[in-house]
Amino acid sequence: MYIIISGINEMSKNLAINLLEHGDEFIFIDNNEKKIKKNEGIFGFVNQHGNSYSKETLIDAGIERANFFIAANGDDKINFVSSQIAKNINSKIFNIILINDQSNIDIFKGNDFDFIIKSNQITADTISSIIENNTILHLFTNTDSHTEIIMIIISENSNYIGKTLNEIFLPNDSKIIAMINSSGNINYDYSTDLRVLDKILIQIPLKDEKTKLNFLNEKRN
Amino acid sequence: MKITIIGINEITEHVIRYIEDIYENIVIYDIQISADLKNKYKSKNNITIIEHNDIEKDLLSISEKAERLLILTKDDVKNIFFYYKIRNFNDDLKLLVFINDFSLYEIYFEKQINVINQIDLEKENLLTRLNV
Repeated sequence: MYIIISGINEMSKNLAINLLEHGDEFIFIDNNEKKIKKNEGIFGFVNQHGNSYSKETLIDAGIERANFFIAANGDDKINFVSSQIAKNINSKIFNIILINDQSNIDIFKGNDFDFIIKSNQITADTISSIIENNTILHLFTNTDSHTEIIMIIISENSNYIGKTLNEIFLPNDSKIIAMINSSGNINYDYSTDLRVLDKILIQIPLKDEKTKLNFLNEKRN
Repeated sequence: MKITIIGINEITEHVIRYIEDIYENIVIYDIQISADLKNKYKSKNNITIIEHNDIEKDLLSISEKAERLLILTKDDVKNIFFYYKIRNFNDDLKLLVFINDFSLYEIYFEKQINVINQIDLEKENLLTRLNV
């Protein structure tokens, strides 16, 4: 997983520690050079100096290959615009946004904002849990048939462990192609219990671009 | 006709030159306004300059009083955010947003937001965008 974190603060640093423990790759974006220098002493050279609402800065930070963008600044204006720009560059990115002022919550709606967390609810654990439970790789998009093939990797925190593929809710018109177990063997028996690091290949309709990540959340709750 | 502007700076002054003979009532809000600017427009009867220390919190009432609203601060992020915040509670108000950074301008132009940039800030275009 490659994660871009906009804003260096205590919460985002704790999140980065969690991500390191899970072996995820991440980069911070911040326009404060002092914060970046200090961060380098903790995490090394995983910092991009600049504004996260700048297209150029986001591209330099690798937004085009990123799986998650986390807007964790103390300013809702920056979180709002940077999430929109991130999604504009990489439509497949999953945006997680921190809202500092509750009165702004109504404007964070639409496809640019995948997951919203209020500042009074946020912990680094909350965000890392969202990331670790949504281990999805986009493998192939077929624009002729308007479908996409994705791979779901069962993480150690997944609630699917011990369940069968038949128990997983999928968007309408989805098709399970195969299950690859943690030893690398392809399994077409969908009544087998899922285990950590099992991989599921699924074909889903392109119109379910948003649904495909949300169904994991829905199932967890 | 009445127009409300948020932000006073050199772009605003440029815009005022185009619209001061068209609009009977021009109301301009900003957090801090220099004495020079206040004096400059003191003699203009149709221009009112209001120093307001929390425009963001008061966007609802500012937009309720407006017939047309031009968001012209020097901060692109603030302008974009103000646009969405106002749109959230007022879908009908004629809004025009200034975005200085060209890559941001292009993105929001594609989103079909009524945006303007330094490159298209000619009188004809501005008045068309303001839908005079």
